[in-house]
Amino acid sequence: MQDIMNVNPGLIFWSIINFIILLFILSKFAFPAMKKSLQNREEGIKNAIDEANILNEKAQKLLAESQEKLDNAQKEVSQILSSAKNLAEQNIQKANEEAEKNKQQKLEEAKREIERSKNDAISELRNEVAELVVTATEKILVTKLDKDSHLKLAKEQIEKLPKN
Amino acid sequence: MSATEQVDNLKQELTSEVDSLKHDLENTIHEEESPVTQILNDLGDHEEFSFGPLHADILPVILYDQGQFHFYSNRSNMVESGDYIMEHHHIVRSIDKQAPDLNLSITNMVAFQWMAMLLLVILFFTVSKKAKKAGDKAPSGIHNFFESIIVFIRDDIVQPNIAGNASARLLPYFIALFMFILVLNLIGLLPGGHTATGTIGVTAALAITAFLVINYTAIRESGIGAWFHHLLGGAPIWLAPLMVPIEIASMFIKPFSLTIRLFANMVAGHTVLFSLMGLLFLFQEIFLAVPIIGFATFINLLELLVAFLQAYIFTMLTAIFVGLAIGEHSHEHEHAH
Repeated sequence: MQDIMNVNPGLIFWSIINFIILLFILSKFAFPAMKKSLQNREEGIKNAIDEANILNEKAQKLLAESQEKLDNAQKEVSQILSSAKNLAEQNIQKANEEAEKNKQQKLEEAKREIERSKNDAISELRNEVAELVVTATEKILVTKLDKDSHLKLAKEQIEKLPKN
Repeated sequence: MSATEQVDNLKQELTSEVDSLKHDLENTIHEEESPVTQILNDLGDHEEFSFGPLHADILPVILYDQGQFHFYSNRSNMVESGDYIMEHHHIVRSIDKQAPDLNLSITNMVAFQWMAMLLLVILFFTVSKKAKKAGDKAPSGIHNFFESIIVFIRDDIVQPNIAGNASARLLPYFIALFMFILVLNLIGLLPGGHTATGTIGVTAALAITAFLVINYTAIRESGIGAWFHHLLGGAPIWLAPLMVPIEIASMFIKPFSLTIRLFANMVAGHTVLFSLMGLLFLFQEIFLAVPIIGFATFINLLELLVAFLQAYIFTMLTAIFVGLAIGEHSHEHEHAH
């Protein structure tokens, strides 16, 4: 058991030599290639991540842009729609008003026409009646009285008639 | 014959008997090849390659004694040459039975380190070749496995503790340190394998390199002036008589604690395992095998965990010590300017 507690200087010496040789061989011939590959890969991954980030940013921007465009288009559409609706409503109203006006006008015209026709008819009737009366009176006067006094009498009678 | 003489005679007899008993006991302790004795001997280091039951006398013996080097191609050659002999598993001079001045032999643990080095070099060369071929593509298989270890050491051990350029420059050291300790630990867990990290010599060697790395990096990063200044530990100058010895002691205690921690952790598990196995030989009872094998398996798995854990702890602590040595200095630098 005491053997293992002995510190053997020869063993220390050889162990140091061994370790230094191992370190030298590995760091001279094995590690550089591994280090290079590791570094390349890490750089590659870093670059890929950076690129992906940039692309992502770009995509995000594009998305925002298109979203904005879409929103604008929607707004425009709704604007157009509402303006069209307004226009249509206005047109309908205008048409309605015009129709009403036309109707009124026509009605009035018709009324006026009727009035005039009536007046014409009345005055015509009157003249005719007067003439008829005159003719009739003449016929009577010829037979009985003088024409003038009878016309006068007849006219007076006609004036007594109501106007319409 | 007087009573006094009789007593003296008896005393002498008793003494000689006790002496001979003592001698017998020592002989039995040293020479009895009981499995327990052999197992305990195997824990230590020898000038002979052994892997499980295989013992091969193939390692060269190098001794520096009385002003000159002695080289022997193996231990039996050394014994044949007649200058040195083996006594109780130790090399001693044949003349005065004293140990040689310096034993620089290639021992079993050195051979096991070579195995680990060979394995690591083969593995890392394979990985390096695959890395060259892979280019920018994702790693696969063994390349992926070792790269994840390297990335772990870089991101979780070195970079959080060591600031600035030093972390990139020291990364190879920490990778080699971690892998070396890990592979040595794992080879020790193979059936019949020996744990090189379970000898103070090996852990001390690793701690000495760590000590050199810590102080070299500190001086390189912050300059020699800052390094001396750090011996004050941030206290005012009049406390120097107190602080300087403490800081110098702490400088040496850090690698010392690294040495003992790794050594004790690796030896402890093995000792528990050997003790469990020893119980079998002690009681010679077949039914005892069931609980003992079960418990030994548990300890073995625990040791597997400890193998990884101690490699991690040794590397981590070294990184922390390096970071402390640099960090304090650069901090003081900021204050100075």
